[in-house]
Amino acid sequence: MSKFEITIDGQTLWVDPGSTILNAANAAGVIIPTLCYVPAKTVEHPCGICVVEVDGREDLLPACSTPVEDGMKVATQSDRVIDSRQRVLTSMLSRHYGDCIAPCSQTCPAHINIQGYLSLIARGEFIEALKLIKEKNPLPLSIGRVCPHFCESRCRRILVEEFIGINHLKRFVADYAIQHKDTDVIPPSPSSEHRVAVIGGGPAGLSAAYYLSQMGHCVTIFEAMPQLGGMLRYGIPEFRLPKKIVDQEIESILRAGVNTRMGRRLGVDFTIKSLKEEGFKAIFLGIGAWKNQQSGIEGEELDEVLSGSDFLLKVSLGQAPVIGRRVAVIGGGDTAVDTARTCVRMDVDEVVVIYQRSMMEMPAIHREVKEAEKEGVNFIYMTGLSKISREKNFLKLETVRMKLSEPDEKGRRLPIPYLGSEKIREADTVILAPGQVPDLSWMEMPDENIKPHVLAGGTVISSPQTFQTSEKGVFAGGDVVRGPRTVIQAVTGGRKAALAIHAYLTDTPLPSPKRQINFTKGKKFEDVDLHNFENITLRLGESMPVRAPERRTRDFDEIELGFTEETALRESKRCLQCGCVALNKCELRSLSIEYGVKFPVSKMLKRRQYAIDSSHPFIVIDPNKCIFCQRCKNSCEYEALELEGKEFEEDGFPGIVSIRINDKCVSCGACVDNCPTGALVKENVTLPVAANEIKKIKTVCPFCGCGCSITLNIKGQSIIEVTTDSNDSPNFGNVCVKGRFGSEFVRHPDRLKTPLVRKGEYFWEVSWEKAISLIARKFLEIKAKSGPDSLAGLSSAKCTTEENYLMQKFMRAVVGTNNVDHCARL
Amino acid sequence: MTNSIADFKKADVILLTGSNSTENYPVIALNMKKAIIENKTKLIVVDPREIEMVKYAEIWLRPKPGTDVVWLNGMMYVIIEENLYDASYVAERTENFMAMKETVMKYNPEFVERLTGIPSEDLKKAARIYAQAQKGSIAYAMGITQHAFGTDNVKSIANLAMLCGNVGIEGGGVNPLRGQNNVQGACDMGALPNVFPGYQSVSEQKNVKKFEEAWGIKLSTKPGLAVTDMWAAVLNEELKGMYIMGENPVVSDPNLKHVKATLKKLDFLVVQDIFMTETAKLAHVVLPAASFAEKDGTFTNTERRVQRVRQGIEPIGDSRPDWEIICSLSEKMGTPMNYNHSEEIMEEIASLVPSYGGIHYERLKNHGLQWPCPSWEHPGTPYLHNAEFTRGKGLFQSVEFILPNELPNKEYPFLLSTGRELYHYNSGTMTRKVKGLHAISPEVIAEIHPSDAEKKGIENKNIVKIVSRRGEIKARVSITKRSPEGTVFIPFHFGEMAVNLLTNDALDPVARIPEFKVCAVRIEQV
Repeated sequence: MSKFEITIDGQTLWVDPGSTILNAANAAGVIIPTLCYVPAKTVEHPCGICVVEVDGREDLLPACSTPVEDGMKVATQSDRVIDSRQRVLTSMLSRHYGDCIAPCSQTCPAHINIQGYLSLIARGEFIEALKLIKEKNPLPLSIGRVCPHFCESRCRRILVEEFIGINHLKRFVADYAIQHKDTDVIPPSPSSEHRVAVIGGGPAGLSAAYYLSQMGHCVTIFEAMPQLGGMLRYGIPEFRLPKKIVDQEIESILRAGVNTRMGRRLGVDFTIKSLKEEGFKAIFLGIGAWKNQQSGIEGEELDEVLSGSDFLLKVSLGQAPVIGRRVAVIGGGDTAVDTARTCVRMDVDEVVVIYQRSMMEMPAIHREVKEAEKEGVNFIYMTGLSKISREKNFLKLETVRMKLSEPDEKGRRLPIPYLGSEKIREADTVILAPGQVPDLSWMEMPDENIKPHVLAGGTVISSPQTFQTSEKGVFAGGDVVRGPRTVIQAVTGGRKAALAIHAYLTDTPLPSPKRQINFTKGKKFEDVDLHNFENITLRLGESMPVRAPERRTRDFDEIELGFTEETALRESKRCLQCGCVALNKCELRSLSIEYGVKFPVSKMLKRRQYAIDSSHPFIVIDPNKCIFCQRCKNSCEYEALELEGKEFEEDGFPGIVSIRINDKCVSCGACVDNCPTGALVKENVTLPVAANEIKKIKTVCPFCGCGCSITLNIKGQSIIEVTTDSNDSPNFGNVCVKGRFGSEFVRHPDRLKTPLVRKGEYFWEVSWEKAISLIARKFLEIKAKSGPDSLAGLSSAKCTTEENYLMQKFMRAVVGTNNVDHCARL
Repeated sequence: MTNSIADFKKADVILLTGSNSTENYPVIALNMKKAIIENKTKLIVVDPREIEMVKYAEIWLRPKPGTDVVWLNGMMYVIIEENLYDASYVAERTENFMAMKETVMKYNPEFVERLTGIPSEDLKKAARIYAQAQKGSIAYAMGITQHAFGTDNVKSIANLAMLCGNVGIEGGGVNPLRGQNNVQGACDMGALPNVFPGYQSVSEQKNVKKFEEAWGIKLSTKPGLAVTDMWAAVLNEELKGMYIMGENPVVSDPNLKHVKATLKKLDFLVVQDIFMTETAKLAHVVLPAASFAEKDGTFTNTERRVQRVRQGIEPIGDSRPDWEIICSLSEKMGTPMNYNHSEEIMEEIASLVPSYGGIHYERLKNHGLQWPCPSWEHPGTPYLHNAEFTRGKGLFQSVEFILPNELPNKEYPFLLSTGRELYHYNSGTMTRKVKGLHAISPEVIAEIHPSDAEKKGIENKNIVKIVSRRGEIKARVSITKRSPEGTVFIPFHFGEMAVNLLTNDALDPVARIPEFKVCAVRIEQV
């Protein structure tokens, strides 16, 4: 038969008569998107995504069902086509209800895949969980102890009973790795020729150094203090974050291949100019915010008036200042609370914290405030301090009751004194804990000529995208840019800066942030439909075991003891898995982003229409996410999937859908892998990952003799799911329940992990060397005594062809017998 | 398989016997169903059980278990009697037809009906459908082979296929469906007591010489023991030590009590596996192996397709790929076998096994290759015996019916057949670790016919005791007409209630395969 000549987007093709535009385009490598097409099936209600414009035809035509004609001219990306696709996608989006990404991850400054690591913990894959955390946070031991856990504040489990103890779980996996000496160091990729200087070995600098060295760059940290860690070491007291933990954390960073120059202070021992002269191609400024702000309180210069951050620094250096028996700490931040709690552990009678707003406004972590109260710290709220003066052998504090003003334009309510409520308090020592700012005195040094621009508040300006300062090749991140914030924010600044520095050094563009579509069931708790939480069994959160207050105040040992494996497993299993586990396969989302569909949160559905059906052992049905593409039904070879649409609306989509799996189902899972949204997901897929994070490995099913080609979808060292490819023989995309769902055994906790040797009734773990030596000796003994035919080997139809070859070669050539067989007959 | 999986779609007729394909080979069954629905292929099912494929069949013959030679000979009787056979194929490509004819002509349909229970008219109809097809494919599995006369059954099938000129053509063939992912590869590689890799006999001097030269060591010419004969050798104290890699004979072999007791008698037992199997529990040393997802290599499937297995993740814990373990052991024993990667092993295989001569990793990137593939240029072989058979002409063999080793009697009135189900795989080592599969099929089920159940006063889901001369197990009853009256069907996946405690270790004299499909039992209420 002669071929037809057609043109698609200006490209001339010779195609078989009888093929559709879609097939002809696909064969030529032109991708026409479609959401409903299943080969060899006709669709009752076509999705309309695949429409194209054909010369001489008024209407847009569906590419999947329009046969090619000789001389046809087709446009697949014209404005009309794009407009039509956007309209169809908008119709679909307006019927979609769910969360793309869990609110916890969205809230986390580092955007750690929290749901992902909780699910890995729940599966017992603790090290994999830690690796997932370290993709975004290289300091999980520390942050697992001191993070204010913004994530937990958005955890929807609170709508059932209590939020998940996310940060405790992070600490658990980090501790687990240390205890099991499984330090998961990823060897740095081949070194680049670029040298990078990181100034400051605190969270921001450590993070930048870690990720830069992971990317192969040669990194040197310059640290002014005697040891690395910054505020982790010198700002957070031992009982919250032991120095030993900080040491372990730093060791894991340095193991990634980071150099250090200790005790070298910017502006004293070197300048940015000198670093440039030394050949550092990029310089990261992560010097934090160490300079105390003036409190403006009269009498702050008195000897008995100390600064909170200096106090903590000196305590951590083992040079604790002398304090009196009655201590008043002024401030409401973490420094104030840490200072008060440190004082409680010293020889004192009374410690009060005076704060001018209420507890609600207090920037300190509330859990720590509660713990401080248990330890005997008194908090005096809504109280301002105007003057400190010395009276004989004590200090006189002039305080006043405060009220809060009406919110200003930024919504901030300022404290205003209540006139006439003045009150005198007494103390022996006052410790002021006002905010801190970066110490930029190095810029004043005469031989420094590189001076990045600075904001009026005293922080260095760096671009939020490129992290570059006003000086070329000089980058900045963490507290030096943002002022004192949390560790996780500093770490995130360091990581993002590392990515930007990498782009700068390799002269590659930074990936431009594409406008994402992130579906949400409700940004605020009150917007979330409570039907989502029906049938969830109430289970209170696991509490962190802590040492009793009356004991722990006698020393500086760590207060929180950490989760056990059992509590971690239980707690992680409480996760509601808000985020969509179909993230990697969601074509609705990727097409909507590709076609620039605008779909604001205000337009997203707020009510859950259908209950989620998880009665099938392998497949979870969530009709709320269904866009009625009908691919599930059309891909089912067993007439087992019943999809029905009712009350069709003007745009051609049904108002009501029902999806049911009947008893003809053989659980082959074709429907799930064909579903372009999260309407059908696999019960055993619990880790949400983006498509570009998944490694796909083609291999062969390990069960029956069909030898189906399967694709392992892998994240880290974890098999997320098994999919198939319709191009691969001999099964061309088909596979049975064992093929698609049966690989779970690979990560079963009962897997044998070490060689075992029997002693009496028990097995003992031994090294490979010992086990192999024992076997060799025994086999040789038997052979010497009774001849080679007194030994026999069973090979296996489960092992590879190569291994079977080797087993028979072993028996024949090494042992010297033909006693080798396998289970072909069984 | 002489032919390919894709070939089922090209067949005019498929004769399916002794294979519950929808459960054991789901994707092959799907191919067959598509052939039937889309290409109007006709299906003949011959099976004592009313398997799902019966729904798609043009005709279903239900022989009594263990009477396969009878109906096969009967079909050939009809085909010869009615002159439906391919006379020119028989003349040109085969020999010994007359001797075979003499035997089958004793099996007239009425005689067959008496022995098998298949109505003579049905037998004739089925014979005509198969014989009249341009391309007739026969597919079978363990229902044919797991008998004390399994070799005879297979020979009969080959007779029937050759009689109708169906071997050596696309869409035809004799197609044993192989049960395990790499059972083909294990056989091809000579993990068998009588042959070197590539089915090269260990007793032939030229083969011994070839492998002695290649491996640089003196080799034994004495054929070894088959697995089913090893147990007796242990009891005779001929075998003292065993090395078992990835096998679980304590669940999968017949007459388990005997196997377990036997293994305990060994002086030294090494088991290498991914889990602590029932067999591993008896070992002196247990070595942790890496799973398929943690190593590189190849599997050879039922249609002789050599396909790449690729490593996806690092070995779990301190486990290692089996080939690496064997390498370290050989080194320790003073005869080192050194390979850096599985690919080097395949290169050695290609140099020693003619049918794998053209198989190299570089060529396995996409769809794999079907052996014979003797050279770099060879595209592989989708179907065998195109121009001639391995021995030249196809040899018809006269096959007479033999009774199964153990038939029901008064004391053990039921006939027990064992097999697999969709949701589990063999001894369950892997599938029973999968939550969803376990949820669907948590425990051993005994299929019993409704009228038998009524007679014995058993209700659905009752627990009963099944007793044979060798042992007893308890199982939950599923009342179904799938199996015929007087028979019980039990899958063998469940180690804690292993049906192989009951089965008979009678063996086929040639293939040494056990008679899993027939033994006598009684059912007792608990």
